[in-house]
Amino acid sequence: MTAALALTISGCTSAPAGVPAAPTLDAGQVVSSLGAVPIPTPDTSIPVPVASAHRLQLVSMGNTVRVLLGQGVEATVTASGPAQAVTTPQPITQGSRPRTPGTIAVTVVAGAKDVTFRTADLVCRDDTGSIVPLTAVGGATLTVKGGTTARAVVSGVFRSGAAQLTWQPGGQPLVLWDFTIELD
Amino acid sequence: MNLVVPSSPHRRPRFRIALGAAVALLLCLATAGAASGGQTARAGVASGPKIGHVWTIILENKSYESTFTGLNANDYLWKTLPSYGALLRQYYGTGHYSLDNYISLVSGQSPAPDLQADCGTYKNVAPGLPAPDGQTFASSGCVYPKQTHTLFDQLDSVGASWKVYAQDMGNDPTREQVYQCGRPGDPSGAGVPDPGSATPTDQYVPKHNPAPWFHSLTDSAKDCANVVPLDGYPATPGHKAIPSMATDLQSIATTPAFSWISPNNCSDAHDATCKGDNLSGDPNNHQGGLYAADLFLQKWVPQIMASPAFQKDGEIQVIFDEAFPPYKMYGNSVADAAYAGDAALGTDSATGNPVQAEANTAQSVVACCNELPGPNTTQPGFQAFNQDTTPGGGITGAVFISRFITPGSISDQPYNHYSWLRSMEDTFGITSGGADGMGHLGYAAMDGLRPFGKDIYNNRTGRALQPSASGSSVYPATSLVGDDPQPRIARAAVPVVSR
Repeated sequence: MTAALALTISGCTSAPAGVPAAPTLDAGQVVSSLGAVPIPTPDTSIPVPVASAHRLQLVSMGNTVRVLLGQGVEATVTASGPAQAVTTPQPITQGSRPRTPGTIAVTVVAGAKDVTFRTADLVCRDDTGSIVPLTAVGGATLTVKGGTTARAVVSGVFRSGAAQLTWQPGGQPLVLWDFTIELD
Repeated sequence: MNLVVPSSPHRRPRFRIALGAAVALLLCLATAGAASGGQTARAGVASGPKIGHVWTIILENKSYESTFTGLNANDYLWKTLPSYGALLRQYYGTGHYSLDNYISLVSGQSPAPDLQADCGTYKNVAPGLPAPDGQTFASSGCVYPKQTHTLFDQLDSVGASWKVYAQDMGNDPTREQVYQCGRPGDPSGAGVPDPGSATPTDQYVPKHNPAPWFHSLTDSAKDCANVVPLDGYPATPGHKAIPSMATDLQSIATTPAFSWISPNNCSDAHDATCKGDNLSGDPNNHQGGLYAADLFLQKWVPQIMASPAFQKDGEIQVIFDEAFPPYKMYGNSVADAAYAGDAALGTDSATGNPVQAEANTAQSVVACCNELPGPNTTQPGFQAFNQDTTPGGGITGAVFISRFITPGSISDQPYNHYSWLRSMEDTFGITSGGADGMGHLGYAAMDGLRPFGKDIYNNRTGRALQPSASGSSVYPATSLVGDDPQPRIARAAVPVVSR
């Protein structure tokens, strides 16, 4: 105790202004006396949300959702992007509306059973309510064998900085990814 | 004192040792605070706890509503971090657009036209002559003359170490000079182009680094050696390898007393869609804005807080340069502000411009703390977002974490970038020079300007406290500098149990 006290006191009396206090008082002594400041470690145990016909999931672009498609068919689906073809801002002039092309990738991991994925089941709508037409880049229909992964890519031209991508197989919305895209 | 008495008798001696050390340390901290207060006994100066290490992480272009109300995918910043520290609900930017805010933060200089336009051409300020209140006449240009000092020069003068860590700086040597404070080139004469946007391989932009805008820094090899890439830099002919911040954090000896951290144009929430990596680990994921900033904070805040320097006497500050509409999305885009739904608002009779989102953008151009416009512009807010009257940079909010701050506390005291500068000057014991002769540069010396006070440094003993939901204690603004805040306590702070 004496040693600890001496260290502490000697540390606190010699700190000049502008210099970190108590050069002989180390972090370990502060922590042992006053406790360790808790660290906000990001929670990596957040479960993957589950979507089904009865539960639409609204997530951010880049997030993964486990989707129950009925009859024991399920898939883990991730949408990411949009990747933009342009890297320099487009000038905005009075009366003109900026726009930018972009591509979105959807990765599908099939569960035990095969999954059929159609890019036509993807619907994109921007925050003005307008539909953003999407075109398949590559195959428009993928048959993903059980336990395997496939990737579909679609492209569109965006005229508003915020939009949503909905996957609605058979017209049933299951997952909605919310995202922004740089226009200027 | 909220020590937890262990129930097991055989642990009592250890408790006594801890108690003795704690008593001594509390005396020590109180003494340090008193010494600080006595040394700087003048109006508006905080007699705060002896914070020895500060990390300031600056993010970009978000209004308070965008960031801290749960509208966006940034749980770590808006929800997690405030439960470990203080949320400053009334923290203001000082101008528009980005660069003038960085200048005000580190030098107390007020906005000037080319700074407000983010300096498309990197060239010297003209005429560069001294103006009242420690200001500089800057009718054009953006690189201040040598006599315009910065916080970094002040830290040099008191022997306090510092570094600017800039993510991606040096990735593309054709865009920025890594050994010369990250400047884009020579600012003399007509100057050189200043890259204002990111590329897929280099998302560093000089306008978000406070160092290259002052000859007092760029003309000093010693100072520029303190302006480094966040992730380090390999050795090159004539230059040793530069350690990363992660390496510097490993010991107190290598950790600067003051660290300024400029994430790149993706990780600072500037770009809605990142040109390059957003730290998600998915090369196809380019989502930017507050989503990307959250990934950056999740990576770096725990590293900083685990460092010996932070645990000893550190403080992390997450601030924004300026408020920016819209409030509903995580992106940053002037075009985004032109929400089509606002077209029906018509045009402004005074300017002929579309009224656009005027009604929605007012909070992004307001000022606090009796901000003065300065000698170079009448409109610090640059008439941004089609607003006519723009006295400041709007409300951004901020989060501070330290053992001297009660987790889950909220301060409603208005502060702005000049308050930040004054606070840093006081924290590091800078007591001479400046515009007031007491260590405060430019408008940080303004009469009545408050440094961060007891509403923020509200755990003066430094005893570690458990996280608590934001709003567990709320500190209303006080009318006078000397008034003690009267917090509303919804949930009492709980000490961390000593092991």
